[in-house]
Amino acid sequence: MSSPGTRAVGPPPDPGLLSLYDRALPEVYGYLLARCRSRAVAEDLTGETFLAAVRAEAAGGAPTTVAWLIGTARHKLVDHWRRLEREERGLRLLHGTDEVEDPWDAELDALRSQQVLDALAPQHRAALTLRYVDDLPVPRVAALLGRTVHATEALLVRARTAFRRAYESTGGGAP
Amino acid sequence: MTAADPDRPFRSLAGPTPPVAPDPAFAAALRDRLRRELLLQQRPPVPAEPRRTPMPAISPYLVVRDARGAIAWYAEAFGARTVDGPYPDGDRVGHAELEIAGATLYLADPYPEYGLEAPGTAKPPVSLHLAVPDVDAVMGRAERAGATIERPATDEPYGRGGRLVDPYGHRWIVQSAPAAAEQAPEPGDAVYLTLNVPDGRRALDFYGAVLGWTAVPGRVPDGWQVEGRTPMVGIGGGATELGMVPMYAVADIEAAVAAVRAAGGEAGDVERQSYGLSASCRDDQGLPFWLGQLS
Repeated sequence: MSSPGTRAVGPPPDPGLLSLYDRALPEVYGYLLARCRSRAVAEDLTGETFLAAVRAEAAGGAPTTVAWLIGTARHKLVDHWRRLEREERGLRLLHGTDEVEDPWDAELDALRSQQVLDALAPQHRAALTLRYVDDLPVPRVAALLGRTVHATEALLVRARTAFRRAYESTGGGAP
Repeated sequence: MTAADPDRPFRSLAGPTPPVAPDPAFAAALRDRLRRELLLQQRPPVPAEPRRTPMPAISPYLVVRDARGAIAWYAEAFGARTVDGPYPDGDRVGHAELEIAGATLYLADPYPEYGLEAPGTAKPPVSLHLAVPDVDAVMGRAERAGATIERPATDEPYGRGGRLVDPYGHRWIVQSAPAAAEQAPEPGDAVYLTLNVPDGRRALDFYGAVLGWTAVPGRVPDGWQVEGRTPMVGIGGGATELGMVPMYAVADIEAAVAAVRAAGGEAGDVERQSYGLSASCRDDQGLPFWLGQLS
């Protein structure tokens, strides 16, 4: 490989992003894996995230940070769920258009919650993950999903209902 | 009660996500891909200024502590132009290419991990020989900019020259060709042309692009001494009156000044310059010119 100072023509590669890579890779991969629960998908989205960083730096953007990478990974995750939603839409009818929510005050079991989330429709999973796992305010969730705040609130109602229905039908049953 | 808050049960889902190291093979493959992408993105770099000279067979490649500072210093002291880079590498400069008086100089910050270190306290074993038309101007400029003069300029059979060590520890031999003993200009010859322009640097860029001129800094701010032209050419920046003013050689400047006035022109005071005596004049129609009695 070329090394600085020994090569007269092209510049040495900027190791800025590469030196960040070792530290940032487990953060980005861990973030994605915990939310998409698939090693193959997490690897794909991790690759897309870092390549986006290369392009952003080449375009003269600010130096990449872990926070920037996580934000970009979140966008990649939303894109992934959106693709998944399109694929599954033809196979399955979204149930429950009623937006009336019964009061529910369960104490959620973490492992069971994760399993329930994994099994939800991608749209519901995206909304709940961004809103509650990532703890983002509704307007941020709306922006990430490309929806209005009102539509996002309605989606969250449906997603919570779907979650509750799935949760109560698994494991120990309704309290 | 909280039962009315639909968010309540879901709040427990939030929490920090632990980092997870992916499969090492994946990590290595992605790192390799990023390295290739970064290389692709950096080519072609947009040169800071167009390169005027083809790549020479041998070019000095300096290791300097504080390459950014050095680039500015060589620009100030020697009129160096950055023709490529600097390419940042974290806090360091990984590579930069300068053009000094038509020659190429590469430089980079130290890379101790590659065994590339800046000069220490020992005397540098290699000197950089810089040929300039005006040794005193260049050495004076370098000294004011912080160079250590090792040997002040003296006249030698092979020309006027001196030695200095720049603030980064590199030694320069600043040298001019022997005084042009070949043919002294005849009285009445045009010996020097001064281009008066608002922006000297810009004029140099223009004539560099059109005529291939190169120059070293002159004695005044934004003044440039064009190299190797006959007659000699200088560029004066900061001028409010655009124009080219010739200098005509005369044998006796006092007599010539008197002749200018007698013929209906205007002549300023006779001034001493490094090359002899000069006087700023206008002919009887107002066209400016200089008279020069060259020593």
